[in-house]
Amino acid sequence: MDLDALGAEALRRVEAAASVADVDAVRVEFLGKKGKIAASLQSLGALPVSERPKIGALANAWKQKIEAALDARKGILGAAELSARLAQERTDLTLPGRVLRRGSLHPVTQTFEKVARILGRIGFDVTFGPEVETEYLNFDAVNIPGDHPARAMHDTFFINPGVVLRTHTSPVQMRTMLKQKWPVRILCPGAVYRCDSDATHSPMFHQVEGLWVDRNVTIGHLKGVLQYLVEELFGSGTRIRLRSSFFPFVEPGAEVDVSCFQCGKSPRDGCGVCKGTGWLEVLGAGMVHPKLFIEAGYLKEGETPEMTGFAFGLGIDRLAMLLHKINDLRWMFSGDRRFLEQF
Amino acid sequence: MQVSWKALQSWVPCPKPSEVAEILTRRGIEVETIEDRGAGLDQVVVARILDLAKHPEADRLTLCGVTFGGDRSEIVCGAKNMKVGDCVALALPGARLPNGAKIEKSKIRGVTSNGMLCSEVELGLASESEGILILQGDPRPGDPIVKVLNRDDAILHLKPTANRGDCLGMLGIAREVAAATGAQVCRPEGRKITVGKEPSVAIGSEGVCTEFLLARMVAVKVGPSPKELSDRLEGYGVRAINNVVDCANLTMFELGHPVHTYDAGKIQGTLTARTARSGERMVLLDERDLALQEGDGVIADARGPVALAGVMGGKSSEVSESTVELLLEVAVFPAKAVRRSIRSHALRSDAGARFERGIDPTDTEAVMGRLAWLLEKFAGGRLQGVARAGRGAAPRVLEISQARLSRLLEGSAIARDSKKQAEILSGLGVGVQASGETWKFSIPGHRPDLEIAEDIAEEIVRTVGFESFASVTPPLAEFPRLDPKFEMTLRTKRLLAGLGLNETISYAFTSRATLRKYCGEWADSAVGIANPMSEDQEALVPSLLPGLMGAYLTTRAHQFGSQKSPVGFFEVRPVFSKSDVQPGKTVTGVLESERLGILLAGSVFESAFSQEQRAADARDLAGVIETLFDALQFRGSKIRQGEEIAGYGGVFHPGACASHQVGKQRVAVFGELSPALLGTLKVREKLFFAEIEMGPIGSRSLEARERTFRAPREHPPGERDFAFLVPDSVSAGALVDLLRNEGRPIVESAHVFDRYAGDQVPKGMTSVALRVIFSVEGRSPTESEIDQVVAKLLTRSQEVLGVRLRDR
Repeated sequence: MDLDALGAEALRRVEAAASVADVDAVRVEFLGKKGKIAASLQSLGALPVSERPKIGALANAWKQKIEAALDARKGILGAAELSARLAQERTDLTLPGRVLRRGSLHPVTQTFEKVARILGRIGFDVTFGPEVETEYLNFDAVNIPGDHPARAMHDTFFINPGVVLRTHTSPVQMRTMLKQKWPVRILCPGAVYRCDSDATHSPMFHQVEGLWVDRNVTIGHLKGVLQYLVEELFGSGTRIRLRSSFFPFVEPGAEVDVSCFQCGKSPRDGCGVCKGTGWLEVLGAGMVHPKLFIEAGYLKEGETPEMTGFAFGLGIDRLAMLLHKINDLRWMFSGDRRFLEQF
Repeated sequence: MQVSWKALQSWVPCPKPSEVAEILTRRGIEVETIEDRGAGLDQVVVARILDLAKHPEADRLTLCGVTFGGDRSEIVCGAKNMKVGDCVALALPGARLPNGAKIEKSKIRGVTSNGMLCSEVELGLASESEGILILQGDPRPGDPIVKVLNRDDAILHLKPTANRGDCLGMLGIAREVAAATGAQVCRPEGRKITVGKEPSVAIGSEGVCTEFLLARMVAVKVGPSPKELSDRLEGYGVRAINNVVDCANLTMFELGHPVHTYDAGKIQGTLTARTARSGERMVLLDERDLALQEGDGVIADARGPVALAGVMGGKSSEVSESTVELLLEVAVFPAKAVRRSIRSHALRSDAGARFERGIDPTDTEAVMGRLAWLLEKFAGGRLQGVARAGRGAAPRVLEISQARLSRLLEGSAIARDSKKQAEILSGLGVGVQASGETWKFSIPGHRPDLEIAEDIAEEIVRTVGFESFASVTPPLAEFPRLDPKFEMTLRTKRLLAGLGLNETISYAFTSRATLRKYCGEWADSAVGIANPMSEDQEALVPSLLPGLMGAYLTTRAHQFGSQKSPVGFFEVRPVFSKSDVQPGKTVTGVLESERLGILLAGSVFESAFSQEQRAADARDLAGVIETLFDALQFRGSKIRQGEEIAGYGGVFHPGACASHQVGKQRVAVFGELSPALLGTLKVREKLFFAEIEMGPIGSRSLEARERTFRAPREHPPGERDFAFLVPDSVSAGALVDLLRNEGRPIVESAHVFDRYAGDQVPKGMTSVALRVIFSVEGRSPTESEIDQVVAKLLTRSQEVLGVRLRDR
């Protein structure tokens, strides 16, 4: 068959193709390595040399023409097939995803991190200490001598005579001061232990204490730091109120109330967070008692201290309970996944 | 401590109860509750019964015509104990009584009742009563019942801090109110005391008593207290006993200084404050037979101890109805001595609580004067001589430079206002004497807690309030640093949460019986707690497994339905063990090592279709550990399997547990829990547990260092897959190690990608499929290079491990 007839047939066949697969078959039949055009050129060798370029050019022209027709036809058919396929295919994405176990961080961890990140920004370094402590560091060194009634408030678990489960994280402050010179600016988090237990007390709970010792640290600085902390925790506009109180390791000492983050400026009787008082008891604080500086070796007995400092402590579990509206402290230590997976 | 607001008013002019509470709380004397004594009684009035008639429809009901200051009003009543002319308590419509009853105008069997006549129970006056309350003393109809019943009062429940013994007396509370309001305290009446030689009194030991004032009172008539006295005591929450005891108690609650009364007829010879002698015993007022310890402070007469000094009197000299002559004790017992007795005998008393906090050592004569005055008034006695042993305390003087005080008050305007400072301190009874730069403060006896400059500063702060200090942003003296341990722990926890595990926090203690279920060694070697409140607190945990298992059991106990939903817990906390180190001032002798525990069970997916779901297994756990180690850049540990894991006897399935080791140091253990253990715990599914030492992981972690970039290779490596027949005694890890070691340097890695055991392979053998990657620096390896090393690997694996290629 001559090339023109072959080409014309190919174009007819392209027009007749009903699917992308048909088009591809036509391509192979005519343009493939072993296709009809290639076959018709096999005989090229038999032609006189002068004829060959002419036939070759003709064959190329037909090839391009057929190629273009194939592409055009494939484009049309392909689009039609795709839209038919799209019209048919459906994946139900409302089905549940394939989900691994749903993990979570304990609210105590999250709350502690929150506090540490906030205070970290103003220079508090996190410091850790042992949970089993000496009676000396837990009590005597922080101005709670052996027979002081304040010790009775601590309901201490004893391991051995002279060795206790720490009742607060203050011994970490003392360990730090014994190890390093002032200025000191630390945050001591961790589990602490007291032997009482009910809906609001647990034999183990968590505290974080802060300590800032430097030249000329004032009550104003303490208030500034606490104000910053509570605004970052509970939102701007949160207020603090300091009431005089007594903790042996500070003088003067204060209970710190925080304005209720739920009912805020207009206390409501029914407020479940503050019980209608408008205030939450969250922190204890004060200026470091000079006896601690003496124990730390910063100061000799009778000397006027060069340094001053403030310290504060807050219950992490209580804070987490407030932030997440957890109704019973015991949930914290239950290990119940129905509780844990909510955080 | 509780005080009546009405009683407080006779000591110092004061605002309404809620404002007094606010004043005291801000000054550090926390008012825990304000008990409104008239709560629920505001709509209850006095009514007089004018006439009585039977209810036409009900035999048991009576129609009472009453007046409460106006026209006759009709009330239906179920009680029978009233008669015409009686005065009764009438709850008007709208009243909400203390017992919760809401009173409304209502029809009872067709007759309208305009209120309710109340019983004592309904008024909250008693827990039981019969009939309605008939009022005594002819009160005026229409008067509020709170007035008639003396209920127009509020009780303030106070919690003074441990340093303020003086606030365990009304006088101290009144002083605090006065300091805030500027008013004067009006002390109660007392009798003048003249100290002479009789009765005979002595101090044997200064450590027990520094001053002992003793008085004799004759012609006493012991009997029930008059209402005036018992009412006053009731304000302090104390029940009346007899007039003598009540006068002594009232003196203590008023002045904060405990006193004691002896039946003089039962005392022989001189009363002496001394230390107890070995072998001495005494029976206390509460009937406790006490074996006294050497060093206990006692008051003794010629025969022996008659009181435990500052804590409690003795039975032998107790005042009774036959008592006619009293010895009155007002003494100063040092706080230290009293605390010692309280602690060693575990004895709590109102007196002890005051002495251990410190009482005013300068007020003995005033206290004796008040006690004698009360007894003369209420028990008809006559004072006949007062004697003193020891001597009264001299007021203490503190010298503080003015600059120092200003510095402590920095940030408040008060820091620069020395006149105001002096005013505040004078208001608190502190004598201020300014002489140049140094100020002399004479400290009143009732404030033994004021010892240093900071204490004086605090007194000023308590009055001006913390609000007078402006909030200041402190300057940063040094740049903060991240704590690597804190960061690593959080990173670990976040990763594990991301891998689907729930963080749990368990108690650090448990019972030895629980520990024994897991591992006998744990129970025997755990660090014990000397004073647990319950068995569950007797030992500190040596492993995180009991806590995690507790979480597992709690969780499973609350899951319903057939699906074993996934359970994955982790916890990071120290575990405890004993050491040989002797405890010291700062050394506890207990080792704490921070661990990470992981527990896996149930299915892998929280949500997946049943054919996609599968149970978690040991390789899921191994994968969590690998991912964690990779994230922390902890490398170089080797997995060891096949030997018993020391310290975990009985915990793991012997054929399915292993450890990660770095050299000889074990850094992690993991595997399937022993079926026997799970049987004991009644667990009917497989559980997988890992425990990782965070200390060594942290110190070897490269996390703190930055990762170094390595350019991805440009030349394709060689890759061959092999299926080996491996005897069951050989671990896949051993084969991988061999291929990598023997194939050096051209073998880059060998990775198990499949494993098969079953009919298609000989018994005792497993088919392990590995992909081995071959690479050469700077180019691709040639086929012949690969063939050469493969031949060597096949020979060596056969020789060393008895492993051969699986036939196709």
